Parts: sequence; C-alpha cells; structure tokens
Amino acid sequence: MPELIELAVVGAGPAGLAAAAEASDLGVPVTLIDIFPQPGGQYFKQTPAELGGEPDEHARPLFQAADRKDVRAITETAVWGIFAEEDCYLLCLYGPPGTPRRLHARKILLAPGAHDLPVPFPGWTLPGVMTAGAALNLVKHQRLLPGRRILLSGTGPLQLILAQRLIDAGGEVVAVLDANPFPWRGWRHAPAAWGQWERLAEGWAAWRTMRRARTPLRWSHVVRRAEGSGQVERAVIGAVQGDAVETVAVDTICLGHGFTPAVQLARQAGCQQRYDPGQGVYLPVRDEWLQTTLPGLFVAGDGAGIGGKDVALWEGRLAALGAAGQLGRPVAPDRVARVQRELARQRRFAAVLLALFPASAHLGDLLTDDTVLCRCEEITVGEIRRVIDEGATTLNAVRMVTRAGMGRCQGRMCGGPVIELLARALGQPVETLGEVTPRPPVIPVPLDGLLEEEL
Amino acid sequence: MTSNHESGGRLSPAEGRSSLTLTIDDEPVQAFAGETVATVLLALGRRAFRYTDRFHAPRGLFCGMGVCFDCLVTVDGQPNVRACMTPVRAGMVIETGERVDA
Repeated sequence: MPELIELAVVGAGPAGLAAAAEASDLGVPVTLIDIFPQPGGQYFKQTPAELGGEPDEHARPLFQAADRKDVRAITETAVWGIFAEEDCYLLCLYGPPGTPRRLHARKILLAPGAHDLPVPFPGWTLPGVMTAGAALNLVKHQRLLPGRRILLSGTGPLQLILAQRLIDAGGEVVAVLDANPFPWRGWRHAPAAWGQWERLAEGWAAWRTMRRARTPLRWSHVVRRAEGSGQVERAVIGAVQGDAVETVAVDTICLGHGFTPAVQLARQAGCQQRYDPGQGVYLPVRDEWLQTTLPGLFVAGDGAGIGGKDVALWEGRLAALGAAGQLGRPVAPDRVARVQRELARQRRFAAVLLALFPASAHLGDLLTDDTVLCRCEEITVGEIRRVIDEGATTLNAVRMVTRAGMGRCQGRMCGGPVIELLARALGQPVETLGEVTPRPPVIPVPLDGLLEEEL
Repeated sequence: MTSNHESGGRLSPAEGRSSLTLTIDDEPVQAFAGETVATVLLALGRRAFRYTDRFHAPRGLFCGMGVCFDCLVTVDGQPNVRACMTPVRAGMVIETGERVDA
C-alpha cells in the first residue's frame, strides 16, 4: 500500500511555498513535490549556487518554510496522474531513483503555475525564437546572454523587465514591440494600483534603462514573421493590423504575450472546468476556499487562472487554510479575514494588468497555411484548415485526424492556437468547441516509470 | 558591444565558479557547474539542437522551462532528454541531432 500522507502540495512556486508555510504553521505535515531540483518555481527560481546565486531576499522566508522539519520536499519529480479513491487521493509520481512512485494523500493542493502563452506565426520554430521566460531564465539564472541583437515581441510590463535585464547584461535590445495600444485609459485604474509601489517602481526603473539604451518601445506592433537559414536572422515586424512591414536583422526573438495556466493535472483528476472568457481558457471551478469540485482537492495560483506572484502567494495561503480546516486543525478567523483581504487587493491589481495588456485578438491574422502550429507533430495551419473544411467541428476531432496536440508536449503549445483556429474557421465561440480529453500520464514518463515499483 | 560578457554570451564569471569537461558530439567542451546542457550549447553558438523528423527543420531552446520538449538531445546514451532541464556533470556525453547530416 502506498504511504498515506495528510497534505500533498504539488508545485513549489509562490503558491505552493506559501501554502506549505501556512499549513505547517497550523501543524499540518506537508509533502511538497516539484519538478525542479530547487524550490521557487519560475518567479522565485534560484540561480544555482555554483553560478553565484543567492535566494531572492523576498523569497527567503518562503524557502525557510520549505526547509522546516514537517515539510518534506520531493524534488525533480513529476506528478503524472491523480485518482480519487474512497477517502483519499492516489498520486502517481516519477522522479529520480528512490523517489516514491505512489502516495495516498488525504488532501491535495495543486500549485502548478503557468508557462508563456504560445503565439504561433511563420518562423516561430526557428532556433533563436524563444519565449520571454526562456530568455529571462538564461540571463538571470544561467548567466548567459541569449543573443546579441534581440527583439522582444509581446505585451505588458514584464517585457520591460526582460529588456532591462538584457540591456544590463550587455545585450542590444533592438526594440520592444507591444501588441496592444498605449494604455491611455490606464489612469482610470489608479485606485487599484494604489499601494503597489514596489511594482510601479520596478516598471519605472526598467523604462528608464530602456530610455538610456535608446531602445524603442512600439505600441500596436508585433513580429509578423521570423526568417533565417538554420536559425533566426531577420524579423519582419509591423503594426498588428495593417500591411506595412519592415525587416530588422536580429539573432534572437523573445515572445512575451502573457501566460497560460497549467490546468492539465486538475483536468485529468476530474475537476469540473469552466470557460473563462477574460483569460480565454478553461479553468477549474473553485469555491471560496479554492477547493475544486473534487472534495479535498484545491488549486491555487496561476494554475487556476493567471494572477501573478502576489495573487499566487495569497491563494496558496487561503487554500492551505481550507485544507488545514478540513484536516481538523483550528483555523483563526482573523487570519482567514486577513488573507481574504490581501487576496482581494492583489486580484484587483492583477485584473488591471490583464485588462490593459490582454493577449491581442489579432494574433491569429499572422498565420499562413505553411505555419507549423503543432510543434511536436509538425502539423501546419493548412492541414488543420483542410480538416475543418472536411467537417471537423471539435478540438478532439481535429486532434484525432491530424495528430495536432498528440506529441510530447501534449498540446501545451498548440492546444490554444488550434482551438482559436477552429473557432475562427467555424465562426463559433471557443467554448462551444469542446475540450481535449485529458489522459494520464499528463507529462511524458518512460514506460517503466509508470510502474508502481522501480525495476 | 559592452564588455561585461565573455565570448559565447556568458556573463562575467562569479567568484569561485568551477569548470568541468564534458563531451558534445565527440568534442571535449568546457562548461561550468550549475549550467544546463542548453546553456552550454548556446554558449558554443549552437542554436539548433536537433532536426525534426518530418520537415528536417532545426529546433533549439524554446520554452526554457521543460514544457515544450523542443530542446531534446541525447545524454549518456539516453535519447529525448530536455537540454533546458538537465544540469551538466563532469564526463557527461551529449549528442545533438546535428550529427544526422555529418
């Protein structure tokens, strides 16, 4: 029989770490499982000590929580399936030798985070085209400049932070393109930004660095095409809507159009999902404790809808309070009230950012018939359009005929773009087209890794 | 070009950074503890890590966080290992898909 634990926290980013700390404060022993060697997730990712890294001082109390005696960290380990049993859940794990392959958990708190929103365009598979997250990881945590002449294309203030990092490291940032228009109406949201001084100061400092380096910031612009032989050598850029284009010589293009939540595990477990038109994705339905429709299974942070680091921290705490309460620990009402208040405040600011810098609705215009949409199986836009012309009306139908979304990333890259293509072609809203049926393992695991015991 | 990075794009070294040697496509290569396989390949100027089956198109680092499975290489004989998720070790043997045409 697998070991029975009280609380499994899956994901050691801001939400998972904050949840572990909160639960442990209430005397709940926590098993914290993460795919990376060190806790932190993407936002609090730690630079390896060998490369001179020190933990972010803001994150230090969180990392200390992960080191507590009653927090057991299982690192470099994927959770590939969750199955409801009579009065607990079965977690299926795959990690280095010696890692448990199965655990029974009374409660589960998922904190899977998010990854950069994939936005396909002709040439986006060329080496040198990478996500903003990849570039940030390289320059910040691997101490490597990802290129010499770098173009940023996407939206929102995180692009400015990346530009600042690249410029400070000696890179030439050719331009920063934002797919959205200048946020003239931003002043209307001033009340929600009140008190967010640290983040406003960060944005201002990044803007000043760009000014000093004479890096242009171009609103309503986007990379329309990447070209090159063997790797990216040129970017064709232009207004989001319009035909005028210009070609710039670059060796690196960073794509930062926002993030998409990692909903796969919650979906596979069987949590009910609801289409969220604001975020353009299906998200797990949650109650006021962030519990899903499966009792005792909670989801916190970006994995339940993009809100950013601060929303994730407070959601992690709230879900941990909910789980601790269900496990019979006394939960102080003032603590709950404080956590709910802070969460509401952070959600207001997150909503402003999402409203000012949404994923542009015009990005689908960039696709050509020969654009590779499914990177893993190399399925083109033209092939998918043909299947739609022949009568496919659901995501599952497109998937089964073309194999788009059936490769190693399991649709994490092309799932959104395929469904948008289908919605456009059929003239129907995305939420009428169905979801992909989730199947374990939700992440590729070697065949012998599925076994209950190591061979 | 400012001078705070070495050749290959590595930023000025941290004190006490320890170097190690591994093998990439039969060539000995110097790397630093804490780096990933992807970082070492990029520092060598190798943008393409492999070629795809269908269109024989070059692929390299894309998502940088283990999600997209584009940066696959062979490590110590094990194929389809994500370069972005794999820290280097002394003596590691890495084969990229570039050898297809060699």
